Amino acid sequence: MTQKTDTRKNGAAEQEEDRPGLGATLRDARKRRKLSVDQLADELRLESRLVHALEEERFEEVAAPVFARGYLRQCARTLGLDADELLREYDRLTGHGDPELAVSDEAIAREAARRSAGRLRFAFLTFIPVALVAGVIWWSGGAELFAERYGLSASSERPSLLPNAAPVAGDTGAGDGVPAPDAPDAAPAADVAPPADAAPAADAAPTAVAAPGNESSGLTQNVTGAPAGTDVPATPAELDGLTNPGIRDDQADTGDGINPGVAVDLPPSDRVDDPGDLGDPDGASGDSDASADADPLAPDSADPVDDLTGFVAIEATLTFIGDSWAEVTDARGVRLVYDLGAAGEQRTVVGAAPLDFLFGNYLGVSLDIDGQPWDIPAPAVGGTVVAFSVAAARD
Amino acid sequence: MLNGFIPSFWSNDLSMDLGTANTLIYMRGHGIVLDEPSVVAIREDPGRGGKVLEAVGLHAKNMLGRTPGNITAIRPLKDGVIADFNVTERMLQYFIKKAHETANRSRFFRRSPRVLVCVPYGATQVERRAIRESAEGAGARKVYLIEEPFAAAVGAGMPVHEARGSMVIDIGGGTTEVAVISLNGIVYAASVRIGGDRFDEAIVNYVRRNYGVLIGEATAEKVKKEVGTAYPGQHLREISVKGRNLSEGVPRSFTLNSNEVLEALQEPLRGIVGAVRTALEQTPPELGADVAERGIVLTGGGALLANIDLLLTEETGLSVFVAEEPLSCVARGGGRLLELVDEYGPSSFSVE
Repeated sequence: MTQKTDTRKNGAAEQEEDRPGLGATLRDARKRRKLSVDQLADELRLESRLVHALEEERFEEVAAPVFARGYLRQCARTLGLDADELLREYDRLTGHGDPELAVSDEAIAREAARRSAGRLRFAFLTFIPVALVAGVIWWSGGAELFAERYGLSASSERPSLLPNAAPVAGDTGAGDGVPAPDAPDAAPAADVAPPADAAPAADAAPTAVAAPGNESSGLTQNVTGAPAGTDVPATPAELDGLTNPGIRDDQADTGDGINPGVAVDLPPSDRVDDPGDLGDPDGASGDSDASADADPLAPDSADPVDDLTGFVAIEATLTFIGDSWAEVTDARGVRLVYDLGAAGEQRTVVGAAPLDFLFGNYLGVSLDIDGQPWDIPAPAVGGTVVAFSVAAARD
Repeated sequence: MLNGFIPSFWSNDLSMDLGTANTLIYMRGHGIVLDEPSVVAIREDPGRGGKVLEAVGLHAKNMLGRTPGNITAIRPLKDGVIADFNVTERMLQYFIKKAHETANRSRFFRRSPRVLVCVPYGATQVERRAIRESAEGAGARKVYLIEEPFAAAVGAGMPVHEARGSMVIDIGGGTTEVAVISLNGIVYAASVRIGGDRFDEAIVNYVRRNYGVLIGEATAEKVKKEVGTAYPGQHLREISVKGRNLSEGVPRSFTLNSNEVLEALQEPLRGIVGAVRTALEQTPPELGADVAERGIVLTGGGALLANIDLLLTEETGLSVFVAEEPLSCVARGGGRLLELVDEYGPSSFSVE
């Protein structure tokens, strides 16, 4: 028994080893009172084996800690020992505090762990729908609204949004509102999205003028300068011509230069990374108040316009009979004109063929290509919005 | 999955020992968060529509027997069951709110709790329903009822799940419950309406009979706690008591000693011993042998009466000892049972 006690105390502090163990304390006290184990067991109304178990510190033979502690208290009272001291020693030997109270202590620990796990799961499951909603908002153009509201630059985020913004823009353009031509922040979109956006606008809104840049942003605004009574009846052939009015160099000889079904195929890097391209919107926005600006239709940037190495130069002269939104983009993706032209103004631009044109009010514009008049095609579905490409002057 | 963690996230499951003398609340993850006397002080206020809650718990208990005409301090529970339904409901509302405040649970993210209420073994269906509805009226989302002696055994740490008999005696304020438990169920139980209150009454009666002096219940409780004993001890303790002399009609002071209190308590103690003897007689022999081998555990506030374990040891011939923290055994056991109910379902533990 003593050996067992010593073994259990190996890990204890040295000063504690000097004290007699719990079992030894009980046994010594019993012997001082000249009681045998059986006599003590009788007094305690316990079986002798339980008294032996206590004196030999074999607590596993006692049914539960609550009983062991009760027996020890009784022993302490009978033998004149300090019960609290005995129980402290018991706790040290068994490695836990009050067993009865441990019920709640363990429960508290379990509960804390459970709550912690529950919070983690809750946060995770809460995050998923929030992230989904945020993603949908972002996907449908909410980022631009955010950017506009808080003055952030949307240009860097624009490329990834374009493909998804187009349907929304089409819906917007189909309404009775006229997309505003002076929406500066959304302007970069106009580099790549005009044909697709213009079509639905012309499709459902005969009197609407679609500005692709604005359509992409989902914003609309009435154009006060648009002349009234400019409705044009639509024909199916015109509709076809507007659906994909882009044109390419290699297909420029088909028909009269308008090549339906062929889109302007610009590399993404040209659309986004060209600093001149990105700089356009600001310039355009600064000039957006056409009546107040001396030269609202000036080319956006000098360098890209002048550098036509490797391209076929083409000159376009726009003469505004009435107010019209005008947009001219060349093969490099450089936007040569992007503004509202006032009646009486004239603008000549030179760029790399083919040129993409978009007029909000085509009846208010006359076009000369390389000095020769060019008949602007009527919109396919009526209205005044027209988009087309010109590869070269007509022979 | 949501059913599993959302309740645990916001809800604070409570185990409530709705006792005649004291109400204890154990909150999962927080331990005992409330321990207050089951006393309510009500003030008559015609201007505000009749009765107004003046104080609850300890404040109200201090008013017992010291109230002016327009204030009534009452104990809404008697003999372990509800005597005044509306007052009990208001008291529970206050206690649940205070328990949440103690546990620092924000009221904005607090969900109405599931509450496990411990009821006396002998409570009738009407009394159980009153307790259930009272707890629901106080804001509980779901109310479980559990027999007090079983919760006391669990809270004391007895191995109730074993196929061995465990006997527990829970001496509360209004009732004493004796139960033999095996395999997570009560094999035999009895409840006698004798408890701490009866001890106080016995002391009041003894003092009036032998000294001709009337003392209040609060004074009697103080005498019981300080010099009360259930079995003759080696040391005689004394206490000075003040009361109103019945013949002279003026306050008088006198001294009571522990032997006198022992004599005063004989009648209720005999009732408890009788209940224990009856339980032992009714216990199946196999389980009785287990009880004889292991002993009997005492819980409840009555277990704090000095030498009551000695008295029961002498009377039964069995080893009887007091559990650690006997006052909170029922509430702690209820808290543990709430966890077990989540784990194994209410039917495993006779939870209603």
